[in-house]
Amino acid sequence: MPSKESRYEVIIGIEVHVQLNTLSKMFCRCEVDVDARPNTKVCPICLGLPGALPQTNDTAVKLGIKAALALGCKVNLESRWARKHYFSPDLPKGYQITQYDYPLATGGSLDLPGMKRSVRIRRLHLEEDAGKLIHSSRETLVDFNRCGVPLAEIVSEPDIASALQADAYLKELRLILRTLGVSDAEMERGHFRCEPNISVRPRGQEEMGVRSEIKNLNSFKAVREGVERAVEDQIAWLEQGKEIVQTTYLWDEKARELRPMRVKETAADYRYFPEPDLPPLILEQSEIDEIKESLPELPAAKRKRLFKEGLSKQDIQVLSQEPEWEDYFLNLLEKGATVKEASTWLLNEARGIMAERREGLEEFKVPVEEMVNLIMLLRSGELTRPAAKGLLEAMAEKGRGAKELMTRMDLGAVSDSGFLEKVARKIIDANPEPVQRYRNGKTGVIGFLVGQCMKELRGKADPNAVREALSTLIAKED
Amino acid sequence: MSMKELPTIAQLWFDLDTGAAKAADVIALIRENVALYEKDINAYINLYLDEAEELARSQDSTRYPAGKTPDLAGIPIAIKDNICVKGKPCTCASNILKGFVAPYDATVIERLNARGAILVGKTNLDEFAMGASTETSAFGPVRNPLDPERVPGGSSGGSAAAVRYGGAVAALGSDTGGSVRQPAAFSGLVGFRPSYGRVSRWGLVAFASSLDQIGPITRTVEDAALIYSVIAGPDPRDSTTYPQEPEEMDLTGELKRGVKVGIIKEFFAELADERISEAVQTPFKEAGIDLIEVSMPEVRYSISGYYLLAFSEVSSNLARYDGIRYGLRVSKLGLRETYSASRAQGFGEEIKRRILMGTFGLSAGYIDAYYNTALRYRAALAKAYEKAFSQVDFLLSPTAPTVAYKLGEKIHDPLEMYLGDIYTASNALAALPCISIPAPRKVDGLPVGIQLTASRYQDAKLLEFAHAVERI
Ligand SMILES: [Zn+2]
Repeated sequence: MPSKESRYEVIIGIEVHVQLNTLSKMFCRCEVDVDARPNTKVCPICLGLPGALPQTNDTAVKLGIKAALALGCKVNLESRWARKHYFSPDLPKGYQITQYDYPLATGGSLDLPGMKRSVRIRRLHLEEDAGKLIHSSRETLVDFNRCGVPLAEIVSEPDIASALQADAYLKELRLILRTLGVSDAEMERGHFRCEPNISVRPRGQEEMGVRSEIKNLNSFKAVREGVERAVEDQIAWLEQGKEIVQTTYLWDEKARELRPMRVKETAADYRYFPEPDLPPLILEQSEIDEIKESLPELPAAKRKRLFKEGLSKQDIQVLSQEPEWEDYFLNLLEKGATVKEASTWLLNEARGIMAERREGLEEFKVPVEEMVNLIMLLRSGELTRPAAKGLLEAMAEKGRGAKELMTRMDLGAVSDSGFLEKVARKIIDANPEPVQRYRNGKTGVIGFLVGQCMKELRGKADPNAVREALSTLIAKED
Repeated sequence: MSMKELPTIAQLWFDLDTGAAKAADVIALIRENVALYEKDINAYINLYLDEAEELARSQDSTRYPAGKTPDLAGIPIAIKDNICVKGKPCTCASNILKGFVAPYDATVIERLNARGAILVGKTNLDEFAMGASTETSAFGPVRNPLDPERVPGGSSGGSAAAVRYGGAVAALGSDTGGSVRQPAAFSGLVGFRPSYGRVSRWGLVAFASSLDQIGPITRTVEDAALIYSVIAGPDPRDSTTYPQEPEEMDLTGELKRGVKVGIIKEFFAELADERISEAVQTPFKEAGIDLIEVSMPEVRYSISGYYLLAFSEVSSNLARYDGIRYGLRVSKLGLRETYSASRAQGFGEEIKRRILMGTFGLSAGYIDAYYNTALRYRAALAKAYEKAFSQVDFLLSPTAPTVAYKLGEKIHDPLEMYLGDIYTASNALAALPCISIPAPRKVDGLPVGIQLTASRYQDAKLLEFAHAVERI
């Protein structure tokens, strides 16, 4: 018998509100700084004072176009502003300026990395954020610093079939936005607000199931858990033959539970109508083309390229989730490191050192240039691999240059063959029994002897050269 | 004692420039007129005569080289109290804005100030400029100085009355569907509504954003043109302003030969008062200008179209007055209750009627039948006007279907009141420049307004022509 889960089809669409990375707000020139002292980043426009009029922020429009193009959307040469009405103390005009039937962009798609699934993007439109309510036991206060901050709302088609895919979609979307510099997209700071809507139906059923919407998802973990919970709930209700009512839930991070926020009996009537204070947003195709030309290499293309150049899937995964690491990595390549070298010394060795030191990349004291110096010393044989490890540790500790530390710590490789021979002689003399075994054909013993030599040399020689010296000496004595 | 006649802007400017007059003396005259009439007429919500006098004195002590006196230096102007002046209350004649002090200047105020104009006071109006008689003000009705039994028109009734009784040399009003032109007509003054987009709305408290325009109320066309040339022009703070500076005007007062003036057949067919029709048309006939009849059946629906759009925008624009951030708050236990109580107490009856109807017109299920239909109508009307202007240079009509009526006569019949906008709504909907000038002949001893309309952005041509007609 197929499992309960496999008898149902999960259908998820996601709306994401992205805070655009602009210096000023969407319709006024107030600085975007939501952490400033409450109500210090406000003006007549974002406070909705009588007589004030909105002025469109061109940079926000540009960022919206960038995101839309990166998502393969068609950017509309004419889009329009609309007013969406509802009463709330954090909405000073009694309406939000947004885009409704004429959005900035429509019809794109996003490939989920490693999943062979593409999620269609229905639309991307621009709008302004609301203020923030601050509740205390006695009263509720309003901070309007966030009011009017530019947002892009990105709406997917219901092409997502699991919590895992939802997670992948959001991570990839976030990565694209960060690569473009469109948004910092920090979830916990509210730059990237995800609202999935989930419905479940028996496989083969044509009719869509009833939707559950989830808000207040402040981390990817919350998204996964929240969506999973909503799916489980809906399947359980269907199994029990319960009627499902369209509901909006808040994710309770602590209790890891969905709390119903409002049950939609009738659709809210926002009385959208064209914003009379702003003319339609008219774009030139040449403007759009220019922005398209200036787009950086997008994550999917970059991944393809690095894979071709020999980077493992696992490393690609790491880089794709951590833009700062990716940045460092690509810088290494640009300055002459090979993909293999960059992978070994950044993603393996340096990452290990940082983990040990409980540091993040931002605290890491080795700049890209010095990491490249280390790699070059290693490549030219001036440094051995074990010594290089020690050197990197020292660099991370002291924040000094590779060459300076190598000299100061005397870590340079011993390449003088006379000196190597002297050490090999000493080890052979000190270990007659293993040498005898080697002579008897147990050639594996050479590893032990090499190890002894390296210890003597404090790691400062090429192990291959040592092996060479040892075997030559032993052979000579035969 | 009787009213002290004030000079026009043009006269006063000349006298100030040559040193023949002092601005402070004009303020003194205004003080006398205010003392005499203001109590009965109620034209002003707030007067700033002391500040005005101080500014006038400093203007008087400034020596400009001959001919270099700024356009409006020393000119006392009244401002409708829905236009923000920094540091002054802006009431919109509504209780809901109780205590609100504007923290910034409207663009028109900045421009007037930059040219040396002196603010006399903020004038009374219909609440949020919604009305045609200035009877809906929370500060009490304004009376017509020509006959205090009668209304001054509205909604800029305070501005018109102030200029009429010599409380200011000129005034600014706002015109959404006739609010500058009709009170000018009722008061025997000139009222000019520029093309939509010519004058920045930054700082004008919105009634219906797609229709609101600020315009001057003056005693002569020349004065209206002067103020217009100062306040008009593109403004980055109002994205709906027209990007070009206003054209130079040639106010010679000469009637150009071959000028084609049209009358809209449907307007005159529906006019009840023959005497008004005659008062409007006779001067043209006497000047030998043939009136060309054009048919524009679209204008029959202009009242419905106008009010549908205006009310819809009202319901949106007035959503911000919720008692949370400024103005009147009637505190109740819950948020919804506070909203309801504040708005119920803060808004007058006419405002509530319009918010309710506008909300209805934008509601799901009704928006297509109402708002969207009105939008389509507006586009068709603009086309019809365009067609008419391919045949004629200007369109002529009365400004209002009646002369000034008595207080209380129409206030209890909103539909009757709305019908008073019959000649001023359609050209506003079509965003056209239009002007009301006093007809030489009166009806029942009361002034009649001649309205002239031009095609869009032909403001300069319209003012030139009106200036010539004024002299017939
Ligand atoms: Zn602001």
